[in-house]
Amino acid sequence: MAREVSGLIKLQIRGGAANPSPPVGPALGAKGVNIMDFCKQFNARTQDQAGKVLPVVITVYSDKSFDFIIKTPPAAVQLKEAAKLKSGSAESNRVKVGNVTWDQVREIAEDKMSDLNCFTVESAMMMVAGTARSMGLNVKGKKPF
Amino acid sequence: MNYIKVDLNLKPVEPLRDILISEFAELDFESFENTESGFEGYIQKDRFDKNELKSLLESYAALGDIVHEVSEIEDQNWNAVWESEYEIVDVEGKCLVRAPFHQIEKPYDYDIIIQPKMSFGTGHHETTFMMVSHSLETELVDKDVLDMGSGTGVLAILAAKMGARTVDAIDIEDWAFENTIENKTLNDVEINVEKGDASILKGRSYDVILANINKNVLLQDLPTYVQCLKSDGVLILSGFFETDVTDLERAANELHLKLQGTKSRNGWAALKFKK
Repeated sequence: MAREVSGLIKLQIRGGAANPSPPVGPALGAKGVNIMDFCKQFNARTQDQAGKVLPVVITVYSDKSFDFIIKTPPAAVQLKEAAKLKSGSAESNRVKVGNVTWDQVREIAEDKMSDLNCFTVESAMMMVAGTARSMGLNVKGKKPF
Repeated sequence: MNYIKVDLNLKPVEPLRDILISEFAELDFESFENTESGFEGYIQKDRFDKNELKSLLESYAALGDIVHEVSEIEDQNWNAVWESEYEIVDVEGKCLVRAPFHQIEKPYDYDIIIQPKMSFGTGHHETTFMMVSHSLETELVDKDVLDMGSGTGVLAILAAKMGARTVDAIDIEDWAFENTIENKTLNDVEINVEKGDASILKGRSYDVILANINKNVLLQDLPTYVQCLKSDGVLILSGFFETDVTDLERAANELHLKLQGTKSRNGWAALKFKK
């Protein structure tokens, strides 16, 4: 018999650092899932990305089993890394705090395309570039399309 | 430890959600849950700074409507539902891990009662199962044993029941520290339970060290374990995948440990070394 899905939980957790505190604990615990089992698996799978914010989509089934998909870090987190800055601009629309190139924007757009609900790389790039500008980042050079 | 939840309602949701999560991460927020209208951010209460949050949100006011609500979440056992109905684990017909409410039908060499309370180690997980299995194959009578990252204390309790001379159980988490003490009492065994990390091991000496943690912590603390291990001492490690075994073996080789046995189960691995 096919397992019935009883819930879909979308969290963002730091690599290697899942613990039974909120939101992991209440979100999974209420469904009768063994939280400790999830934490052990998530942490083991993300040892190489320790500390990075990683989106994870957890599917919980009616028999209280679960599985999950770990995605790459959100576009904004990747943009900060690309621009080598810790925090975005305090006044994002006026003060530019850093730079990213169109190549970097393309790389992030390709990586996050499915999450951004875009059908073409170009539209994903426009979204990522928009996020960059909102964070106070200049997108350098000539738009490649 | 109580947590602070910050519930964000955003218009438009994107790109504000994406950006604010990346900014919240810089403010020591640990994790996030996406909601229809934004997200919830979670941070340990003593790390939360109301003013820092306020000035961050103000700086993004130009990007849309940001409404936030702060609330405190009391620490509690979130795993209680699962723990109230978990199934008995039978390790190779020799060791039983069960809850106080379970009835047993036949005697086992080792009958361990675990009331987990949000700590890891009931034998359901492959790594615990393999650690128990490795332990059962190891001479523990009159040995000095360390269970590092004790969780529920299941491995320490087994070691005590197998006749260890002394057993130390150490964990960095409050819940695990308290849970190991509770389970020690439930099983009526002698265990020295402490809260801390590998730094408290300096100057100690053990015949057997058990550590079911994760790859990064094991790689980092391996030299300390080896320092604390008597010659001919045994080190049993788990908490990682079969694909991570090469990294751990390499680190162990550099410390002149000799591989004695490998177990694997559903992609997880457990290694036994001798000094």
